[in-house]
Amino acid sequence: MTDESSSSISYPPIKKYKKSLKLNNNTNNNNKNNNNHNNRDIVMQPNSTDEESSDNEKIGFSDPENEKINKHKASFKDSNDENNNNSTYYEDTDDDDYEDEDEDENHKIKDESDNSEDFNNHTKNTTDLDEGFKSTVNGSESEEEEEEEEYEEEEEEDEEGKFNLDQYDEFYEDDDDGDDDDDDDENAQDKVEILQIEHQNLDNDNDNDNDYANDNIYTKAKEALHLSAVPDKLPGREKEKATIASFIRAKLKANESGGCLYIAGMPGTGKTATVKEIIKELQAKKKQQGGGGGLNFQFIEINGMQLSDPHQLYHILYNKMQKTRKSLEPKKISSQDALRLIQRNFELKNKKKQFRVILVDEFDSLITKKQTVIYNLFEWPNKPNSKLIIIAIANTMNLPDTLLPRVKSRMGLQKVPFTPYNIEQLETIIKYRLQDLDAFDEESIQICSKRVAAVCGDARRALEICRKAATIANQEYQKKLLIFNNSNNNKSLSGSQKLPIPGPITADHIEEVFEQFSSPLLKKLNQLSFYEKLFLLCICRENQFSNVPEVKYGTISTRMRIITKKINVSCPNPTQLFQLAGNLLGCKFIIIQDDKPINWDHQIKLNLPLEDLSFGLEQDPDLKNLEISNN
Amino acid sequence: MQRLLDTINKKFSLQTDIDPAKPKNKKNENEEKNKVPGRDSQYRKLKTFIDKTAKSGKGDSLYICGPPGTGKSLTLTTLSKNLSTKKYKPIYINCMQFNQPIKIYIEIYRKLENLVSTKKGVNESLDLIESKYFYDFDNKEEEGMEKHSDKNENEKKTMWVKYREYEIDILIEKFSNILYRIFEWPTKDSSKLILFGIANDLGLVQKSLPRFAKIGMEIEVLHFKPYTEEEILKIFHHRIDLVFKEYKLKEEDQKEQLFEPETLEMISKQLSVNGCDIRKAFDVIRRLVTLKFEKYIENADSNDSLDEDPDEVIEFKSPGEYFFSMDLVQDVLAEFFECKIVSNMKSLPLQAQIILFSSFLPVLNYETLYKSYKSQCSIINFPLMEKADFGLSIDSIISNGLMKIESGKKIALLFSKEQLISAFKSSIIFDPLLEELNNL
Repeated sequence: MTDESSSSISYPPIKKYKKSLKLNNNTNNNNKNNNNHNNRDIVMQPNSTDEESSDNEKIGFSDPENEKINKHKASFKDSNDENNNNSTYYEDTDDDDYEDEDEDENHKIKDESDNSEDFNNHTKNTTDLDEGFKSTVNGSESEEEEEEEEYEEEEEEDEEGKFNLDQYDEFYEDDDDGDDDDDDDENAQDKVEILQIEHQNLDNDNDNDNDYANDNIYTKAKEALHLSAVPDKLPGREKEKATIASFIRAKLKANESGGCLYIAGMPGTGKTATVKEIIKELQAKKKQQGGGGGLNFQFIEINGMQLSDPHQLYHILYNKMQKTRKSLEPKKISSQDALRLIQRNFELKNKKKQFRVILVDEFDSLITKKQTVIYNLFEWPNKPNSKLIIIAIANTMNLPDTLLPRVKSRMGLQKVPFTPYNIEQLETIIKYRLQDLDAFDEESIQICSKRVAAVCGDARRALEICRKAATIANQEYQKKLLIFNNSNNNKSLSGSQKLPIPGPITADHIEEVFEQFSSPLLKKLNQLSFYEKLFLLCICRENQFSNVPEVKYGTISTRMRIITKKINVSCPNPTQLFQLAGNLLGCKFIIIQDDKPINWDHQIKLNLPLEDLSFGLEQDPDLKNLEISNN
Repeated sequence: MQRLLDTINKKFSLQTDIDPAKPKNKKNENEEKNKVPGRDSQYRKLKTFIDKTAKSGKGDSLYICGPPGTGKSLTLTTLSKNLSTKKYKPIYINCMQFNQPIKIYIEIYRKLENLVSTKKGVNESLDLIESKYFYDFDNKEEEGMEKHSDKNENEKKTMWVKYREYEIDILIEKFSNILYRIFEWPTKDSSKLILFGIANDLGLVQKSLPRFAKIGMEIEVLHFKPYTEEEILKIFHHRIDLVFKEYKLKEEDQKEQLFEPETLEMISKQLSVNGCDIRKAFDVIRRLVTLKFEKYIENADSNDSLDEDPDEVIEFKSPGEYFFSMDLVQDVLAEFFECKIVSNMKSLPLQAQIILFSSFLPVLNYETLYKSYKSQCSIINFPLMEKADFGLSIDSIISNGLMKIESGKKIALLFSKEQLISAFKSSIIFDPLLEELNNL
């Protein structure tokens, strides 16, 4: 015993040096490790004699093994929590509108929570590595052998857990309360540990943010790519901008009549930003030329989504028209009277009357059953002395075809389509936003713009993907800073090492973001074990074969037996099959009608659409490699 | 030159306002001045109707129907301008400005009393209208009232009530009671009201007012048919004459050089195919003026000459050059009336274009379309999209007007197979998909 303790003490600096190397390897080789792990599961299981011998040897050492099992379960639960957070987070981002300020605050809070979770992972990895090093006797072994030993230990722990659970179930099948009590105790212990770890990480967060927040390129890139940061100019829409500007300028020069203009396009294609840019330029010209020149006009913007009732448009429009006359208080007039006063204003002849440009954004939300509001909007510019230009913005190109004939007649023929962005336009938009920052590779911007242009051409989506790539790169940089600080504390005497330089955001970060944007079902499927996937595959085959949504448990077990024979893989025990079904029931992949323990005659039903599940299983790498044929 | 463009813009805008304050000394000049081209027969019928009703000393009503853009309101406003203000008091009410149909009584009362605004309610206004103008037997020689009332609002409301709650007669009576009451006013003994109802629906009288047929009272219907090609051309020439009168061009040779020959005929033919709407015709002319204005502004900015002489004479370089050429007219017509489905297809994202090829199925919904999309991607060896991205691509197709989601999550196509083939016949990527389409 004394020799072992002395040998463990004599090697601490070498082990700490190897931690940093393995962290880098783990971050880069996560996918490879998963594949190796799955393959080893297949190889190890036919050796039944080895399992029995290992079980017999380790029965006597119960206390340290139980501790390892508890920590192992804790890691599983934490990983599940993180995945749930990630899935909900990305689902929310798809649905959110980023123009609201409150949602921006929520967005920032989520960023902070992500950082804290990453530090949780970091500390847990260090604890696992410590366990690994303590268990080994010889310190001079290579890294590869150490990795193999780690995986063997994990497998042994799994087997021990199953064995204990089986024994427990045999003795206490009827007592459900006992199970619940034990689970509560374990959960309480886990919560205490999680709170301690989070507390430590919060301190680390504060220190790192105070030191390095200002110098970081990634935070600047995130701010530039944020949706609320509106640039002065909008690249990629020069042609549409020229069309709209010539329309407005010509109408302003022609002193008497007005006009209507309809702008249509997908969300995120720069419709509103283009119109506002044109108005800014015209107002700048107005200031340069003074009173003359004929470019004097009043700009009024109305968003259809801000109105609870479409008839409120009259009230808001009248108040905004009156603001130029410097009335002290806006009068509280009903929408009926406001409409009459507006009509009177547009009918009067007055040479000094000012031109008005009204931008109606989200125009399709103003449509009612009778379409009175849009009828009046398009009736006013057609009057001889109106001096009114209306620009209507909506999403659908053929919206005028769905309107009433009398409204369509007054709407006019002038339309400006905003087509989805193509690859060059998205590249110029992203580069224009990142004007002087060198945070992104040339290749990463191209990959992002090509992927987004092929799907929907939405500029918001492209900016969001680049922003998330910057977030991922920032997290990696923070990990490097942690390692640097830890090593710097130990080597405080030298003090001459430099800070690690943040590298550019590469195409790998972009690909990682696209993987995170994929559907949560595929993520959940990838986390299942091999036999759980086989179980789901049997349910899919049985549903497709019999065209019945509910399948008996017995038929699935027979189909499971058939498939395992073809693959030359050992079929699990009946108790193991019950456990597989229980795990899938816990994950809500399947539904079983009764709460009683699973029986051969129970009806099993999928909780997912069948086509989604079959699509996910077809994409799964494990089942692809085995080349399972259709039964 | 700017004055000419302003004048053309002004004369080709819609003239629907009423100016009762204008003095009208001579009837012949007024009639000649306010002529409505293309609607001479309808104008004559309306005038004889008013003269007949005024001579009889009683009220009467007339229903005017026709599609939008056929000159219904313009004919009546021109007629009201030509009437003498001593005998008649014209009132114009547009029902699209009311939230509720019953508020028309407030508006009628306000217009009759020449009030800027009134705080009286619906029932009070109705009682005042009926007591003052229809039950006053002492003043038999009181002035007659002419009223133009657009009944589009009531039409939609009554139809809505009928379809939604067909068996409840009280509600039908409640909403169509307004129409009955307004059309009953001319039939009162002491009434001198002449009522013109304007709407788009030809059979509104038979649909919404069936009790009048039972009583035996018939409402006369005047139908404004869509403009023909010749009538549109006549309107164009009439407006151009107005331009030249105001602009005071002396030489008659310049009149011929404003539009190239056959350009106006071409515009008339195009509009006769696309709905015979005179508002669209005026939009085309104003678009031509806008394009000329852009060139004028560019020249003015380049020459740094902002001011212009009002008495400038337009110089036409050669007899063969025209102010509005045929090329310019063809560009504007192509911009407005060209079918844009093919260009919209080409501007779609690439994945959305593949979805268009996979959409010719007997039953179309998201699931069948996704299956067909997967088979199309396997033909080209193209990477698949996720389901969320698939929804985004379908949204881009819908916003370009090529698909439409109906009830029950079914998808309707708004394009044909030939249009898809003509859009992508020149691309190499989609050659296998085009062969698949030809085999279908």
